[in-house]
Amino acid sequence: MKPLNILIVDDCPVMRLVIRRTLGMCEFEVDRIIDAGDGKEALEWMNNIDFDLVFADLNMPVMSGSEMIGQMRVDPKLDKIPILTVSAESNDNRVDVISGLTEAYVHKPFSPEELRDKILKVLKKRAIITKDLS
Amino acid sequence: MKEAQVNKIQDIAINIFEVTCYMFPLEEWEIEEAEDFEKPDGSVRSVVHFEGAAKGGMVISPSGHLLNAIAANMLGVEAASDEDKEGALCEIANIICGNTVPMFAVDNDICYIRPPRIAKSDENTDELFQGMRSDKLQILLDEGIADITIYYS
Repeated sequence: MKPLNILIVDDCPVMRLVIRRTLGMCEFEVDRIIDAGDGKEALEWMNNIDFDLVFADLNMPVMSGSEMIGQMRVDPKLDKIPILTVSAESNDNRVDVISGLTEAYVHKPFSPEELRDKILKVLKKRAIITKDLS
Repeated sequence: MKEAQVNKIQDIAINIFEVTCYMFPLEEWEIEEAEDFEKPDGSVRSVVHFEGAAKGGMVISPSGHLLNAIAANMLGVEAASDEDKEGALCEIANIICGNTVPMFAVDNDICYIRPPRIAKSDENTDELFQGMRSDKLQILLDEGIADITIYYS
């Protein structure tokens, strides 16, 4: 398995660090972890690097996570990248819509174990990792 | 707001502090001890607005010790920078608000939460939500006290 490239898209630097810490608990090899503060910056990164997994917040300035996800899903170069949405959004209808467009939805607050389990599930489902790390 | 709703918001906030910051509410027999705790002085407050299906906001003011603990526990560090403390508080405000706004939304419509920010030290946050109703609640945790004010129309 090749080391993974991971993109974390969240306007909160602290939350990006929390996700990085959680990734450190997962035992897969990581090549690069890149941070982006909004959807626009994230799309720019995605034009330059092939990512294996994207973490996306929903409520962000400049370009929201929903808009970024929408653009990824109509772009043949980006539409296969697994997306894990991490948000405090609690409206059932909005969560249903987002869940339909992404591989997993992680509701804040979450424990590191919960996030780790979702990450592993998404990567296994996409056959990006094959060995059992749980 | 009805007492049951205020209690629900309090439960949501406590759960968020537990899961995100590894801190726990004081037991009933410990509450007397909280009288000796440092009180929130409003020097660092996070403000978050919501709009859409409901309009309002929330202001969270932690004690100094609690603010340090929020950032340190979220980031897994001994001592966080001021920037990290403010960022961590804003993230906690964002999560509490995100989990609370469906209580105010009409017909389960969507509320949009604006990015939280730190209030200026002399800012009168009540003035930001003029004409709105408000409720105050206090969270007593093993790491300190947080005052939360909820504004809604």
